[in-house]
Amino acid sequence: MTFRFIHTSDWQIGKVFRFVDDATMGVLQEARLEAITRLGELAEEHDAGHILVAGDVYDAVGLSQRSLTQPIERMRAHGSVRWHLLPGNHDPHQPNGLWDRLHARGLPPNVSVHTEPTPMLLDDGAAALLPAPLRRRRALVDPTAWMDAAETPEGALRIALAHGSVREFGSAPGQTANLIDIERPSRANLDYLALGDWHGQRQISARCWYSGTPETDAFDVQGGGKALLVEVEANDQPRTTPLETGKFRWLRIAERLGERSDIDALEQRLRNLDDAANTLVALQLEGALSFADAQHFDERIADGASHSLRHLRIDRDRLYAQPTADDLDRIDTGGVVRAAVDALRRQAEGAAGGADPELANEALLHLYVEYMKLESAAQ
Amino acid sequence: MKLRSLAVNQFRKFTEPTRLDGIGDGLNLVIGPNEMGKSTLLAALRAVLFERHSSKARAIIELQNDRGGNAPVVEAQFDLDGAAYTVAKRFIKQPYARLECPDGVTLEGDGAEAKLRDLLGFSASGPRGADDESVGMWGVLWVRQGLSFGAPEISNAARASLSGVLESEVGEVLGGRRGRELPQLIEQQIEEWLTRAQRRPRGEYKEALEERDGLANELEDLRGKRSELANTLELLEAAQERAQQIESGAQDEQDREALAVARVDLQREIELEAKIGEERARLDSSERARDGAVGALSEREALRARLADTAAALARDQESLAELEERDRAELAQLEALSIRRRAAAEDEERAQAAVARRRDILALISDAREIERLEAGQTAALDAEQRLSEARRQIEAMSVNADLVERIRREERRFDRANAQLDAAATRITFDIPAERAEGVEVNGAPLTNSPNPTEAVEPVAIVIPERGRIVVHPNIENRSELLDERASAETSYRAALAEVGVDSLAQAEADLRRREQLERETALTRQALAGHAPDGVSALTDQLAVRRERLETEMASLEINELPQLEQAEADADRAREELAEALEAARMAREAYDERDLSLNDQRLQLSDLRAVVRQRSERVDQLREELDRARSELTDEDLSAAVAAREAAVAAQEQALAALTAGRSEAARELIDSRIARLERSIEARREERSELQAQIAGLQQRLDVQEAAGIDEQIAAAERKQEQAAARVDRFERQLAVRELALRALREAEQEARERYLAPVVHKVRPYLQMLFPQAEPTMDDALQFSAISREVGYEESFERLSVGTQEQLAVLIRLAFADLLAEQGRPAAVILDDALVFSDDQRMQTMFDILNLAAQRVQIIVFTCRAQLFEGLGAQRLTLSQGDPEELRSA
Repeated sequence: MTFRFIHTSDWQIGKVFRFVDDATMGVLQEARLEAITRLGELAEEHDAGHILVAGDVYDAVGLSQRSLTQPIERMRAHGSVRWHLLPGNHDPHQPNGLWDRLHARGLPPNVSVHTEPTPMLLDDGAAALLPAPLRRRRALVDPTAWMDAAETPEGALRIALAHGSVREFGSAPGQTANLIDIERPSRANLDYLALGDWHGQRQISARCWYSGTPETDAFDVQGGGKALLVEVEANDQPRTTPLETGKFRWLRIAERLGERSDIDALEQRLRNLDDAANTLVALQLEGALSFADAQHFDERIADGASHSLRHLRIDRDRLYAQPTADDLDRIDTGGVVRAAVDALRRQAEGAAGGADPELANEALLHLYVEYMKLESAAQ
Repeated sequence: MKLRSLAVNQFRKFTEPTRLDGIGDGLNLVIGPNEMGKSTLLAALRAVLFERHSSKARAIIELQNDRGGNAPVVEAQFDLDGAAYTVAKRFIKQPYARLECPDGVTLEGDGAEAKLRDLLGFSASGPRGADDESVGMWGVLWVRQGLSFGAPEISNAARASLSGVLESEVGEVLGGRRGRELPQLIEQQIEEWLTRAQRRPRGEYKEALEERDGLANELEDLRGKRSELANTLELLEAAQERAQQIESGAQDEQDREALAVARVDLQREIELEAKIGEERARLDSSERARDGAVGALSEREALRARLADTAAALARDQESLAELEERDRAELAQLEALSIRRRAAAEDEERAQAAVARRRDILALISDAREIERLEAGQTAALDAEQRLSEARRQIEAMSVNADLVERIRREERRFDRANAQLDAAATRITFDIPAERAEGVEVNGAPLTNSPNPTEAVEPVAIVIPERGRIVVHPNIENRSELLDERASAETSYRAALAEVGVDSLAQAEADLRRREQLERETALTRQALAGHAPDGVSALTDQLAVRRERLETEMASLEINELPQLEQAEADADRAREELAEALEAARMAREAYDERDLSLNDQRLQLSDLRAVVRQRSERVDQLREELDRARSELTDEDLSAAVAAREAAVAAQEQALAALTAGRSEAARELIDSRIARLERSIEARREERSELQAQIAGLQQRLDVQEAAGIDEQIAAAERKQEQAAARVDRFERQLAVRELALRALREAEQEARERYLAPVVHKVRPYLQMLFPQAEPTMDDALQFSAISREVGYEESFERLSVGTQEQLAVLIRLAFADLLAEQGRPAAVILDDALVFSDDQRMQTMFDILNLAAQRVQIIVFTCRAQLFEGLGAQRLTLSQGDPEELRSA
């Protein structure tokens, strides 16, 4: 008999997106709730009776009642599915804390919160769920250690649910919090270990996976926006199928710009992205542009193509605007303005006793831009 | 440009054609009094060069002379690049403009003016006429009266003109329009975010700062709430733990056991205390018995002592009493003697009083006698006056004359005289010229001629008989003779009747009678007054009064038993002597009285003392008897020996009781009972406290849970995350603003520095030109000029700059002239020589400066044409300039309209 369920994690409900505007943030937060609905639908679609959420259902413990209840109501709406929630490092189980609050207000019958490391039998004893709830943000003992000695009925599949890191991508040994032994599945004779914490989907071993977050929430997440359909049979390797759940794509684009054609090509690339309206882009730029091209960049990209995307973040720390002889000749060949420009250029080139070269360069560009505005206004 | 001549007509005060000719290359001086019109000449020059001939501006209308109506005309000749031009204009009526060029061409109207602008480099004037802006450089070089001091107002146009000159020397240094606009623009951009003066944040920048800081506060607040939440959680956990602990009840059991033990200890302690109490009561009673015995003994001693003291005091008092009685007897004898002396003195005093009274009565009688004498004299005078009065009254009654009658006589006499006079006037005058020897026999109206008046006034016919010759009758021909005669007869009759009534023959007699009567009447009045003075109530009353007084005097003398009154002097001396004797008697009586009283008083005091002392002796004697009796009685009850024995027995009983009490309390702590009480209370309290704590904890837990519900429902982490996000964004915005500000300020600074540098290069030629002049005035002084081409300061001493505004008015004026000379110099060097005109300048300079300024002007005049207008001939005498005078112009040439 096959035990089929969906493995998901890191919903991070209530997460705040610091770098986007308010409207985009609202949209991103809403998308995380919609992912729950999508998971419910996928469970029904794939005839999976359980959804295992491997921690970090919530982004924080001090959430408003609405943030706390919204996901519960989404789950209640999918009553044919049983939802298993696990306290993670973002939402650890503490006395009188978030999970006690939820309990106190009453949970829907199809939602189980696993706040104690106690096995729970599922589907009339077909499977035993071994949860490893976190009681604090950072635990320095392996929360799954108890599973080795945990007894389950004869014939029940041992499915474990945990939240934390595995050695493989820990930082310094012994310092990683919530560290989970990569050998736990074999040590505890587990049929499957469903992990959460890592936002990208990732297989750790034949019986151990990170499902990844159902809706990507950062540019550095690889393989987010997914869940796993898991099918386990006794004495067999589990079968896993990635499921697409995410709505928004988060892209990093790095470009080197040198001349106007580079800018135009970048513009085309951004405008031609698939589903641009649901794409967030972090644009990392390097290179050097003339003043005229720097102005062109602002017009075409910063004030142009950016509006076709959900959000465009531009990092131009390594993109330099440098005046060319043409730029300067456009200003003046003589007179006070030209003298000021020359003085600033010397400072930008690092002349002794001058201002910070970068500041000087910006001042130079500012003079250039304002001068050009005056000129075009005059024409 | 060099001015050669100027001619005006009907221009302001010039109502006749007037010319200024022969203006030379160098220094020219036009001297004239205030009203001559020097300033008007300068106005005319400006008008002919810079004003449009067709202009209807108010400034042009005002060029007309005061009498009005006539069109102002101006003509000027000037040289430019060595060639001569003549320009002439008429304004307002039939206006024209004409420019005669050296090539023989004559331009008219707007064409002439355009050419002029081109030649001299100024702009067309606006609707209000030429101003500093349109006139350009010329406005700077030609200084109008009253404007010479203070820095020259250099208009933009003038600066442009100067800049044109300067730029050809230093190249194009200013950035033109952009060079001015760009710094302004950036400055404006900076001022969008920073206030101009204080450099305080404003606008969006300020908002971003406020938002950031506001959010920081909000965040702090939220973090506080989070720690409150954590605190609540901790408290709740602790309360729950404690509650669990209390529920076990182990401590309660332990405390109850300890409580039972303590209560047994308490019972034992209470019993011991009761026993001690009994012993202590017994001791108290023994002590009271002993104290009673000791008291009785000391009372007996006291009684004995009191008796001895009282007996001694009685003996002392009896001795004093004997002494006092002896002294009393002696005093009484003395008082008797004093009493006799006092009575004798009183009798002496009475006699002296009687003597004084008698003397005073005698003096009063003398005064009465004198009054009687005075009244008798008055009586005599009054009788005499009465007699005189009746005589006068009789005389007056005999006189019929009075004032009215006299007046009537006077009136009738005047009437009679008037009638006579009228007759005389009308009478015919007959004059006889006949010697007396021949007049014999001649009769007039029957009387001899010699008796007739000569001439005779004839009213009635006069018959003149001349013996032997016959009779001549003269009939006066008087028109109203009969009336006149009647009148006289009537008047005479009345007159005579009036006289007869008074009984006199003439008016004079009547008047004399009247005076006599009035005299009598006056005398009568005087006599009556004298009578009233002597006898106001009449003579008989006076006589009665006299009789009464005489009788009284006699009675008084009889009563005083004297027959004759003494002389006044004698009586007064007697009285004085009696008064002296009385004073002496009074004094003696007073002294005797006082001596008696004094002794009497002291005797009284002594009597009182005596009776007091007698009472004391009596009381003391009784008291001694009483005390003696008391002592005897006490001894009969209990002898002194028995009393001492009883005291010793009681003392022994007390000592025995004290020993018994000491045995009971030995080794016992005073605080034992309190200690046990406090232990019991403590144990009971802690059992009760736990009971209370249990219910308190339940309440506390419920409260904390409630608080937690509220705090958690707020979603504090979510709020903090949201606020942090906002704050980060606001901080980023602030960073952007600050970066932008730094960028803009750097850009602005670069522009300003470039400007400054350019200005220094650009000003160098002006400074170069002005410096030699300045140093002639102030050796070694250095000028500092600003971008408005003006002195901003000079430094006369090294390292010490004086700003232009702080210099004296005179110095400011001198410097203002110097800078104009420098400008003109510069223009001259550029091949554009320009005339400098100074109208009433240098009026604030002292003599020595003036001399230096003259030197400078002469020096400048080697290159520049200078025209000085002044009203101070003497002051400018030393200028060494060519002197110009005004001359009459040709009306045909300068025809007005």
